[in-house]
This record gives sequence, structure tokens and C-alpha cells, in this order.
Amino acid sequence: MTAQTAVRPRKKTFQHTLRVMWDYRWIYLMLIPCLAYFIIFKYVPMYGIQLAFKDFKLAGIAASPWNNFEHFKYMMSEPQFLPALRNTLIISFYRILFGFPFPIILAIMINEVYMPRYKRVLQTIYTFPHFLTWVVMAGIMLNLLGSTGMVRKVSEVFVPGIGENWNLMYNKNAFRTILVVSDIWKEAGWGTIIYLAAITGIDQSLYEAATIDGANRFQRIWYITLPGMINMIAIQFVLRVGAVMEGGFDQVFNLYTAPVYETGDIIDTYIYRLSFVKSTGINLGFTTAVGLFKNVINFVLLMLANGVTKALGQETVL
Amino acid sequence: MKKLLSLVLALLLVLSLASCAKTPAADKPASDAPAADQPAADAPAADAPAADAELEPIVLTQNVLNAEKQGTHARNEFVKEKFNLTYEYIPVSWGDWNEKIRTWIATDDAPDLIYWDLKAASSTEYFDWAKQGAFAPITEAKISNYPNLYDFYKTSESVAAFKVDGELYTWPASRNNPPEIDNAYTSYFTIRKDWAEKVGLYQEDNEYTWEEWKALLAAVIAQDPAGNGASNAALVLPTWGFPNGAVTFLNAPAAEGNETCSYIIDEETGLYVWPAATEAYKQAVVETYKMYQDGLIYKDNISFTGSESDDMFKAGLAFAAYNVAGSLNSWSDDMMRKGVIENKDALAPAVVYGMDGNWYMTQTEDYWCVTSFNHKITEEKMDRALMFWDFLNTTEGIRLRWLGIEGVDYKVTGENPEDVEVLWEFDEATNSYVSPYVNFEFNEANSAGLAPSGNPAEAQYQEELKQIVWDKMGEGKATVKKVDYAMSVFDGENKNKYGTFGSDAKERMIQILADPNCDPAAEWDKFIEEMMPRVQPVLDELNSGLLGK
Repeated sequence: MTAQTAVRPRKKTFQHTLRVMWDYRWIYLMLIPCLAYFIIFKYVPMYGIQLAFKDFKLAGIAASPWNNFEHFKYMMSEPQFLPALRNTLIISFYRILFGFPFPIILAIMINEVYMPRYKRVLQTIYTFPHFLTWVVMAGIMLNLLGSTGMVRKVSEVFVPGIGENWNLMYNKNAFRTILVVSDIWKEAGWGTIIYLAAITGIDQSLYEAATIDGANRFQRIWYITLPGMINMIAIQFVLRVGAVMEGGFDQVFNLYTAPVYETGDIIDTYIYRLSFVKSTGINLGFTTAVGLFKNVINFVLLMLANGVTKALGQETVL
Repeated sequence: MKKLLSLVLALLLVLSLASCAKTPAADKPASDAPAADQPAADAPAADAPAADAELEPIVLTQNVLNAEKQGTHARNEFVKEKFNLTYEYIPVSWGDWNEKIRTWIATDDAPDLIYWDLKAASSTEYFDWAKQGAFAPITEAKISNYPNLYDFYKTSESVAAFKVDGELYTWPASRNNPPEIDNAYTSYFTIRKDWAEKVGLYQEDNEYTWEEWKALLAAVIAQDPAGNGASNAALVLPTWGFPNGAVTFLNAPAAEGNETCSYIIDEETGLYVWPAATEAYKQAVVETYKMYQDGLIYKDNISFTGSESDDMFKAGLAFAAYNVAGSLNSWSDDMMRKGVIENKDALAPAVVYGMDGNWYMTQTEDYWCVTSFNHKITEEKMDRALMFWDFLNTTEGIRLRWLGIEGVDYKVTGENPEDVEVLWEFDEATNSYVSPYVNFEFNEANSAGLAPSGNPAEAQYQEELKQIVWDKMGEGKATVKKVDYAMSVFDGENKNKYGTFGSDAKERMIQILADPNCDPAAEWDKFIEEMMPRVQPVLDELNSGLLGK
């Protein structure tokens, strides 16, 4: 009995918690700005979620009348909503399928470069496009792929006549590919940073031992580098799946045009057009309803991905 | 160090939160302007003090374009001295203007003067907000104290259209157009006259039939008179006018203002119809398609989102740009400075007749933008703003906007506003005066209405170009597609919900253009069939509500 009492961890009392907080008061004080940020900008605005179920009036959210899910009914009846939802999911799926592995592969490749100076130059080149805005990138894309662009001119040299009726930027069948490729081009280099950091944390003696044991380069990557990165990959994957309903507004908005709406219009761009292009003006209740719809799906997917990752024995975000 | 850092961070947070707090209202609210949750009510009349009376200092907040160029020149000093009035400018840009206003109104955080790019065709929000008490009323009793504003109040169609239960909640800035142009956009194509001459198809009278116009564009593409190679372009259109500026704006049926598509009364049936569903519109779609596929309209115009069409023209890469009178002078100056053209004569305005031989002009509202008063504004502030606007419509006020300060920028030689001797330096090369205010803006003056044309500081060249277009209008050659104010501001459940479907029509037209293998007429029929279940209820509302049918 006495022994049992001795090993049982002491129950933490509220006073104990307060004492610990007092002991580390300066650390906790530094936490306040961060906490305040999340409370003010993330939690307090949640009060506004009720707008999704109300007709907004200038008198305020509380005074706005409930509307019996009218915004959700309207959302489902709008002919462009479901195509936009489908496009969002497909584009996100493509980004995960093709875009997610790319920084991992690139990070491994950069890590395998032996010359430090060359490695740094490569990293700079790959990372640079991240710092260009999508407005600039869209201009570059138009200059490359447009009707007077470089790709058309070069193509005509090899395939005469191919330039007639050239409309790569306005081809709905090519648009998703353009989105995914340009996203990889812009962001893959930046994405390698976190994976390179994970690789840096791998114990070098493992590589040395593997080399002595006769492992070739690919075996070292397969059996040491990848397993060393797997926790980071799992965390990144969970976070990426949790943002599946974010189709990349900046990119799509700057690259898309009316001819590619059928395959490129995502929920965010659709809402933008509904709010700022159509002649009826913004409907705060409706846009809140769509936002809520998106976030609920994102939340469910995040929990799902987190659960699956946990079940597979990897580190998770929650 | 750790303690100090923590304290500094915490202090910064407190300060940043404190700075977010609203400033308390300095004075009593304007008239009986209602709170946001109360219905609007009349404001009692107030006598406007004379401009030379002792005035208490007033600071007005107003959103303006190009805020960074505001408030630092002699005209602002003049306003401060004469009216004891200072402006605090809140920046907006064309891209975020309406978005910011929506946010301000929703959060009850608008400036004193809400300067607004409000169009009659998209005025649902205005009426909704006015009914909810977002704006202070501009009562007739109040505005009658300001004779120059009251003239417009009594005669303006838009003032009548924007009244809610008999009360006005926004001040439309009169375009002050000469009556002969009937508030029609003096739209034409700015062309490279030198290129047209090179291909041998220039018309001395600057008038082109539809076939002559297309032949001219085709010749430019075929002959590439400037030697631009693969980048050679014939016609470029501004974002707001693409693709309708190429054909639809120049032909029947009517469109309202700059809208690509609204509702018009069919002459045969006497009922409201959706223009996109008419044969004339379909014909325009097919013609636009042919021109685009033939390369007469620049292919990448689809991707333009800003000033690319103007930039292309000014860079010497395009033959023609859709334009309105007023830009030609600055364009030619720009192009001369950059060495793209050698003299102003290289540009000309081309008037193009429609497919049926008529010259169609699209009328716009009788105002440019509007200014509403925040419902929390004080009587004093409102009166001071109205007093200032009234002055800006006097002879002295017009000269202040055109030129600046008497004795410094001009000398008076007669009674009319234009009877002045301009004191600015004259540039022989551009045949125009060099304004010392070229890098400054005076946009707060726009709320009073645009300064009338006839500015003596404008180059004669500019006046002559405008006159070419206006003369033709005066000769009765133009068919003006009128604004229908009653239809624009009609309050109907479906119309409020769906609007004009203008952006739907524009989107589909662009989609058709981009498909080189489609049958445009068949595609348009299909589109109309898809849309009519939503359009018809709006038409039914208009026909029963406005025509009683």
C-alpha cells in the first residue's frame, strides 16, 4: 500500500499550476501577444459564423434575423457552385498527387549534391520564384504561353503551323496542368527548406555505417534519408489534406479567364466573382455560409488524415 | 534582458490594441441622422453660412483615389483659407474601392464622406443601405441653400432615381457635359493614323463604315506597317470593354451605360427583354467571334486585367484602342516623349458606323461617381462640405479646378470661366501649357461634379479631337442608346437577387471567342436557353412593375 502510494504521480492541483506559472512568469508573459493574436483574430471572429444562418443587417449580427438556412439552399441551387466545388477538390487532389512529393524529391536531390557552393546556388535558384507574387507569375506565364509568347514561337520552328489557333492559356483542358506545373515551379524550392532541415537532423553516423556496410547511394536514401524525413512528411501531409478546400485563390485568380471557368473556377474565385463582379453586390451571409461549408470539410479531412497517420504510427499534428 | 523584452512586447500589444479603438465622435450627429438600426429620418434645414463668414475649423475624412498625391498643393491651402476646411484622405484604388466601402458600411466605420463608384444598374446595395440608415439624408431644405447644387438637384434624372421615400441619400457628381452630347460616351477608336496611311486605307474625315473598318484592321495584320513581327496587333480593348467594345457597343441593341447587357424595351412588343436574347446581340456575338478568330482583335486581350491595352497602344504595338474623348492628348504626349511617334498627327480618332450603317453611342448616367454622407456626420461638417461643393460650381470654383489660383496660375479677362489668361509655361513641342499641378490630385473636388469641358489650359489639339466626335453627334448622326433610370433602380425580388446578368453574358461571349472550333450562333442560342429560366422572372417583374403588363 505504501509502495503504491509512493509510485503514484502526485495529482497536479490548480495551486500547483499557478505556482509553476509564477515560476516561469516571464516566459508566460511573452506568450501573451501570441495568445492575444489568436483570441482576437481567430476566436472572436467566430462569433460572426452565425451570419451563415442570418440575413445580415447593418444594425449588427445579433440584430440580423435568422433565415432558415436560405444561404445554404441558395448555395446548392446556384448552377456554378457545384462545378466550383468539384474543381476545387480536383485541383487540390492534383496538387497533393503531383505537387506534394516534388519538394521531398527535390530536397533529397539537393542533399545529394556534394559541392556546398553549387548546392547553395541551386537552393537559391529553386527558392527564388517563391518570392514572386502570382501577379508577376501570371505575367510571366502569359509571356511564355500566350499567343505571342515564347513557347508558341519556338514550337512553330519545329512544327510549322502549330501556332494557328494557338490558345494554350484559354484551353480548359490544359488549365489544370498549367496550374499544377506553375505551382510546382513557384513553390517546390521553398517547400524543400523544411525537408532539408529534417535531413540535417539525421545522425551522420548512420550514413557512415551504411557506407561501410556497402550500401549504395539509393539504398542510403531509401533506408536512412526517407525514414528520417517520414515524420515531417506525415505532418506536412496532414496539414495539406486539412487545406484541401483551399484551391489556391491567388494563383487561380491571376491565371484564369472566362474560357477556363469550366475546369478552373474554384470556390474562392466563384465567391469573388459573385461578390465583386456580379451587379447584385456582396452578400455577407452567403459568403459566410460558403466559408463555413469549406471549413467544415477542411476540418473533417484534417481529423481524418490525422487519424490515419496516427494509425500508421507516424507523428501527427493533433 | 528577458524581463525587459517581455515587458516591451506586452506594452506594444497594449498600445496596438489601444490604437484600434474608435475615436469618440467629436460633435453632435448630423441632423436627425439615424443610427444604423433605426429608420432614416429627415434632417432639419440649416442655413448655410456665407463663404466669407467666420468659420470654425473643420476636418473631413473622405476616401479618394490617388490619396498619395492629395492635400499638398496651393489649391488645398486655398480651400483651408477660404473654408477653414481640411481633408483627411483615406486611400482607395480602382481594385478595392467598392470592397472597402462594403466593409466600412458593414462595420459602421465609414469616413465622413463616402466617395463611391455607384452605378445605377448596380444600385441594389445603395437602396438597401439607405433604407437601413447608413447615410445621412440630403434634404431638399438643406440643398436649397446651395444654388449651384440645387440646380442639379432639381433637374438631374439620377437625383430623382436615387431618392428613397422621397429623400436623397447620395450626391451624384454631375458630369457637366455639354448638352449636345446627351451624356453619351464619346466613344471612338484611337488609331495610328500613320499606320492607316501606310496601308493606304486612311479616311480623311475619320469616319469608317463597318466593312471599311474591318478591312483596315485586316490590312494592318497582313501588312504589319510598323514591323512589329509576331507582336503586331490590330485592335486592343480595355478590360471593362472587352469584348463588347469591339462590336456590341457599336451596334444595336441598347446597353445601359458601360454595362455589357441590361434590360431594354422591345419596340415591337413594348415589353422589357434581355438584350442578350435578341437577334441583334447574337449577330454581334457572331461578328465579334469572326473578328477574334481572324486576329483583328488581339488574342491575349482575354488575359488583360488592368491597363495592358492602353500600354500596348502607347508602346506602339497595337493599331487601334477603344477609347473615350479625353485620353488622346495625354496618350500622344506620352508616346512623343517615349519616341514612339514623332508628332501628334500620328494619332487620330476613328468614328466607326455599325453593321446597319448607324453610329451608335451608349448613354451613361448624368453623373460620374457619388458621395454619401456617413449617418454620424455632424451638421457643421455636412454644411461645410456642401458649401465647398457649391463654390466649386461657381466661375471661380471652376477656374480653381481647371487652373488653380488667380494671379498665380491665371488672370481674369472676362466673365465666363474660360475668359482667362493662363500664366503657366507654354510648351511649343506639345502645343500645351505645362501645369504645375501635374503631379498632384484634387480629387475631393470631384464630389461637387466634374469640371465642365472647355478648359483653356487644354491643348487646342485635344479640343479639336473632341469636337470631331461632338460635331458628328450634333449633326444627328449618332443613335444614343439611352439609360433607363426607372428600370435601373427598380426594386424587385428577382432583380435584386440576380441583377442584370451582364457578367454572365460577357463571360459566355469570351468563352465562345476562345474556342476556335465552335459555332458561335448555336452556342449563344444554347446559352440563352440555359439562362432564360432565371432571366424571365426578372423580366416579368419589370413588365408588371413598370409597364403594368
